[in-house]
Amino acid sequence: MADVKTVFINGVEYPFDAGQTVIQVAHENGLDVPHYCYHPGLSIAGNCRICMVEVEGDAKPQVSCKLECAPPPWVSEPLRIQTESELAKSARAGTMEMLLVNHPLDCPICDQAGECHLQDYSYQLGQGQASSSTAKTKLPKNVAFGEKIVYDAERCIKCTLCVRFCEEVTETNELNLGGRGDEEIVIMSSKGEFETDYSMNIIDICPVGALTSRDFRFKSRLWFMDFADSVCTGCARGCNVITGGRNGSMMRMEPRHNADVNQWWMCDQGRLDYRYVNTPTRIATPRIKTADGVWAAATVDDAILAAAAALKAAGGNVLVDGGCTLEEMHLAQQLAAALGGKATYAAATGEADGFLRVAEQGANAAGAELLGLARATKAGAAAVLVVERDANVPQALRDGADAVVVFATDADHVPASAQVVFPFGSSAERDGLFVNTDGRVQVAQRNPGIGPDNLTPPYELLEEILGELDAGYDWHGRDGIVAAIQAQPAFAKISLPAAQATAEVGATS
Amino acid sequence: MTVTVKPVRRRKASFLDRLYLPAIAKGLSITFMRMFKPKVTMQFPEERWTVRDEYRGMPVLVSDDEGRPKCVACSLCEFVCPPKAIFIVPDELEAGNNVERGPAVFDLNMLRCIYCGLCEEACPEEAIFMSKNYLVWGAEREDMIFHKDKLYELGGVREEGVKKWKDK
Repeated sequence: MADVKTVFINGVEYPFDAGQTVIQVAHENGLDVPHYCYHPGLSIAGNCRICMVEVEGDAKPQVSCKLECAPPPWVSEPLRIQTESELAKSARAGTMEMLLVNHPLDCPICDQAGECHLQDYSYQLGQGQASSSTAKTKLPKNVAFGEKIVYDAERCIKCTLCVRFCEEVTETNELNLGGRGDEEIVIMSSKGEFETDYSMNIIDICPVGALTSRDFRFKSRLWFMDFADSVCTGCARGCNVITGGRNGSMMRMEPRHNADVNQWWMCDQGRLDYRYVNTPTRIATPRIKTADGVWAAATVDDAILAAAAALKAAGGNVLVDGGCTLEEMHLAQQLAAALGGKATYAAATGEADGFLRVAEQGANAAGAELLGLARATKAGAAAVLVVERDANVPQALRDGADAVVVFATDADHVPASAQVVFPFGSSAERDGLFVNTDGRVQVAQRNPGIGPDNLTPPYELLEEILGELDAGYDWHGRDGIVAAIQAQPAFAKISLPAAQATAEVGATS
Repeated sequence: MTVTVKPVRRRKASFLDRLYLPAIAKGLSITFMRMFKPKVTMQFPEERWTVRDEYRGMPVLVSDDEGRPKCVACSLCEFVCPPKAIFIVPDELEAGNNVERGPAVFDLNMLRCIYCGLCEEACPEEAIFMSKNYLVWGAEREDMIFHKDKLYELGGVREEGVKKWKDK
């Protein structure tokens, strides 16, 4: 057998690993080969036929997702593939036309519009007019797949990605294909509800608008939304996500590929966890309690002065949410030292599900341990309290702290003892570093479309308060804070990404 | 830079000029001549212009021949609108409607609208049209923000055009 280790795609020679198919090598090298039914995390079905390429010397085009780069044993020459030749293009255009024969083209009311592969490839390859004049098939629309997913059989192209996901990743087998010919649809098991908590991943992998989220249904068109790379703070796994929001409201969270953390997936619990961000009792501006015990809105500068004055009088400990960033935790430590107390963190413990979700709920609990913060298990006095989530810092801890300065997301989480309140945000609204349960440092980026306008980053507020305390603290900015954390012995073997680094950067200890 | 001033020599007014009577007589003669020519002034608002078919007046929403609102809240007009005069909140319609989606809120801010007609051009459902109404007024700012019900009332029924969802 000839030992061929390379493949020519569009005239350029690329090396491949044993077993790799043409589409995998093409995607690895930045070539765009259209695909619907192919997903790098699932088995290869080869049923959508949109990834057809020309193999030089062959009369018929072949599907690149199933075509192995290694030539047959009797061939000693590398395969020569053309992805953009006339044959390949006409094969794909023909496939496109067949896929659109029964597609309702209801893009104006479809949530997938804007991230729909069918739309994209139709724009690239499709024709303005259909050759077929028969009426489109009528199939069930707005079918509930459990409580979280809506299925539209007319939009479905039967690529079976969702079926394969439930077979191979969750191994719960809730979905299958039923019916024949143009009446073939995806059907759900008779239970009518998913057993897995990972069901909403099928919405992401669905290349068309057949599977859409009940939660996100008709909320916003994609092109109005702002997106940012962030990290899920639902548990200490720290799944890489893309946050989406518009006009201050967070609208959805989608997993982002990271082979070392969450692959392509995330759990439904984490995905739908964002809703606390949009609470009607959200704190948008700093508040100071007046002498009459009434809350009054204050400017950031006034609130910083008031907080410093209150802390000089009170002194004491600092209690932070386990979902705070490394920067915030580091500054909490500095603040506690200046006040003559200790910094602790609080985090809930949940249940691990054996796949992605872990029992530790403090998204940055590992980071807190590295910094040397102790875990608060029972209520204790703390002058400064940072609350992002109710779950991490429950009411008993909040009320027991007797705090005077409070950073909170929700006005309902402010204890009665508070004198100055600063608005805090979810991880979608704060830049910062998180250390996940495996000790991996990850970057969360602020999404400008989410949260109150002009939200001052909490690390800046903490630095300003420290500066006002006359404790000899100099303003560092975020780069300086990260450098100070990096200089600590516990971080000697970890390289922290620079503050401006993109979210892809990550380092393991 | 130096500025040079050039004095202009003006003609002195003659005796007739100073008398003013010839000028008054000339003016009055023009007035009398106009009395016998056809009138060009329109008695607005009792009288109105008849506008051409392609005239772009205030945008309105229309219903189909069965009286169903045509807008599906796709928000393309909101996206294309240059002065951002349109604000839409999409919503799911109850089962039994011919289409799943419609606007819960459709606000048109006529203080912002520049009558460009891009909304009409972008609409895939032919649900928004530039009407012939050029008389848009309000006593207060809030009066100039037209809501969904008012826009449908102004638009009325339009029988021709796209009926994509008719048999859904």
